[in-house]
Amino acid sequence: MYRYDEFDATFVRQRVDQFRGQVERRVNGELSEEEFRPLRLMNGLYLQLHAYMLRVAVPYGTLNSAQMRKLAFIADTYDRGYGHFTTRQNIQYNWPRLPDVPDILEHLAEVEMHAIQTSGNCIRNVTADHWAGVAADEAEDPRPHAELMRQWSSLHPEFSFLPRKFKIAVTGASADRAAIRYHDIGLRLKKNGQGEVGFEVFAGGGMGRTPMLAPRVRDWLAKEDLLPYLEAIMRVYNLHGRRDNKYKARIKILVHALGAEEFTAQVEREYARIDAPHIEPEQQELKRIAAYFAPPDYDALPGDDPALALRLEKHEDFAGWVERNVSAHRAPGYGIVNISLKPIGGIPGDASSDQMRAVADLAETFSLDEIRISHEQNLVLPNVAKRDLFALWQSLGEHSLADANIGLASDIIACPGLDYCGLATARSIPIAQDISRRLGDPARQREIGDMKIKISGCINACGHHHAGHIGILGLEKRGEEYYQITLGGSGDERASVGEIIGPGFSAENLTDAVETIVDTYMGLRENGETFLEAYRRVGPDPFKEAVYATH
Amino acid sequence: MAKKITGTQALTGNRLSDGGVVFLASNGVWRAGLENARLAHSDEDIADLEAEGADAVEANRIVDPYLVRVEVRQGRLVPAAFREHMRTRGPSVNLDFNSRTNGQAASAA
Amino acid sequence: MPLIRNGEIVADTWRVLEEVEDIPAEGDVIVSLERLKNSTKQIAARADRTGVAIENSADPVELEAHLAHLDLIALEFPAFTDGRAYSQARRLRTQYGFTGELRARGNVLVDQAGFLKQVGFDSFEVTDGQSLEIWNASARSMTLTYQRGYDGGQAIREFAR
Repeated sequence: MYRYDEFDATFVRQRVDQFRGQVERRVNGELSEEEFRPLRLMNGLYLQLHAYMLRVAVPYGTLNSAQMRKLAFIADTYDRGYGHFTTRQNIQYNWPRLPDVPDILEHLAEVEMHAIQTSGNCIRNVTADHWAGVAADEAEDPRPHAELMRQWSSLHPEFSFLPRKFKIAVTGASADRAAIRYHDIGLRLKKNGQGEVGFEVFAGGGMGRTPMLAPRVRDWLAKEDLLPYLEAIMRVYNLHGRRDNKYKARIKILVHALGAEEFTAQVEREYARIDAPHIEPEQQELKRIAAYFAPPDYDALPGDDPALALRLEKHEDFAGWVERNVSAHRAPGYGIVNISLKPIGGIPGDASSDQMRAVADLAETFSLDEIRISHEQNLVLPNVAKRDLFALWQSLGEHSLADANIGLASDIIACPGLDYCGLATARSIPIAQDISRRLGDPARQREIGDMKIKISGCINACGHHHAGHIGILGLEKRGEEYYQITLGGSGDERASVGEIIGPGFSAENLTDAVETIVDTYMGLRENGETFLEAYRRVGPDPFKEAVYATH
Repeated sequence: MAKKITGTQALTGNRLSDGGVVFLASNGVWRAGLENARLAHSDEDIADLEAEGADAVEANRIVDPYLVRVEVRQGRLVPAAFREHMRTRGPSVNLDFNSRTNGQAASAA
Repeated sequence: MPLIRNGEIVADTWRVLEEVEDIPAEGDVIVSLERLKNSTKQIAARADRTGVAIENSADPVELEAHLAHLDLIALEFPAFTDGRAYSQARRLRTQYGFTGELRARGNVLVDQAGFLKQVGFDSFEVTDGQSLEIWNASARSMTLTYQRGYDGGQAIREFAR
């Protein structure tokens, strides 16, 4: 994985010093809150309901064990012993004190991490497929490009005061695990007719109160043209995106208003006259970055491990975990291990400092020192030899990290909601906990099969409810929380926006309604089709009838 | 933009140092917990609260103070708005994370 | 209003011309885009320097025909969070080859000094009370930049990657 050189290290340290000065000026009154707010936001610091919240970037979701241990150290030293992994491959601390934040950032810099641009109207942490570089279905590892974009977008002088926040996601695989069409810019590495790898470019996707799937603006873009092309998109957006209404300021609104064709034409016009030779990175710089992502030295292993086969036969629980949590790796004899942060009745995406340290140790022992954060708020050990799976599973179990529910009904995405968030209109976490308890019986959720339930505590949709097979949106009316259900959303390569099924539900009735939807699916599914497949076949009516007949 | 203020009011804000939720109590002191808050029933009282809030901003102690309407429910003083209610009481989920074990997380308080 | 150029507070020799005023033959004046378009010949014939102030919604292409007669372009920041003028400045420098003075007016924070210089601004109207020391410290707080081609033509950064 990428390592800072002197340039990166100096850059991040200067940024820490700069923010230390800004915090001092805020505390002594030279900066008003209004002036300080955009500065702290660009360093990942929010003021939430009950406290500050610091959002630390895990660029494209990749980190090593030393970095994970540092995250645990920060949780213990400056927070309350835990952290929350988010849908944007960040970690959030819920209780830091303002004067401590420069120190926290300094600790992060020691392990080559930062909180730069995890908030604010700028280009946010670039996210990527959490199986990047190891997935069996990949054309090319997207991480070198993600790292290039991390560098390019960091304190970009022209694009740090955009109309609104800006999110970029990249994948190199045919299956979309990064929800690229739900991003302001989505990038997919693919081969053109001549067999050259380049980018398919999507722009203008997003969630929020106006969910939209990004249209394709370029079928194929040469890899070396990426930054000039991105600058062309950014410039069109910076100049023409709406600034009069924050709910209409995202690029998706501009793309929609102009139409994909006209937007694309404007981008291409800008691209044609852009100062490309001065923006493109030098070839040797691209090579330098790419070298860090060269595949590690995998042991030459047989594709199947005989000892593993025996274990699978003997241990039903282990077999169930392997089936759900271990995915195909490109190297023979290896697997991708997905660690669930969704214990039944737990807080989705939260990990204690003990768990962080345990994962760090296990990554060192079993995963060539590498860890990933997924946008589904789980962790990944990307490089585990199949012969080590049993030992790893046992160790994970000791730290309450062996839930065999990846992709199942209790693997719920939930934003922090009104338990923490200043923008929320309703709580998300207790809803996730309740549904996970109701549907989380191991045999039952395996029987239900692939199911993505996603919960947002407000219209901003940080819990990705629009992309949930079952999506839940928390709202408030006359002092009571109520929840709207959408069905049929998906963030994968066949992305779709969920449709509202009807009037909302109280917190008390919501879990019953979700269960009714699940039972209805179980009753009508054919030939082992998944919930989403069944929904796409039959449409919303059977679900509406069942839900509103009984509630 | 002036808006019509009705009912009993308290002045709340977040501490600059740690973001903690506090209410203006007596003598310019800011304290956690609505039970300590100084209540305003008249336009004059409200003006006083706001003036002290402005002083606290000026002194770099409090961020963005604002008025919240409060009422007595079941014998307890609570903010009228749901969001303020949540803000005053703190997270409703179990936060004693390191003592938690898998599958046995305490339910919402 | 104090003016900062090259890290110093300097006297402003420029005067913003009111719409009702005639264009004087002498003195450095800043006119509106409307004026610039309507009085092209008169402006081209001036002995002293002419600048133009444009709104941040204007397309720099409108200045293209006049660039030879312009010594200064003032770009507007109605709020420090409104970043359109960064892109206008960038276009003027790289796509229209404007080499005169680019001035930032309106609401800018000292903490934006570095960004402003990088995209090509060279003078800044600052509000009273902003200290020159802090402004310069801010402009120098980040000496490195990842973006290529954004040195503002002034090598303000030690080096770009």
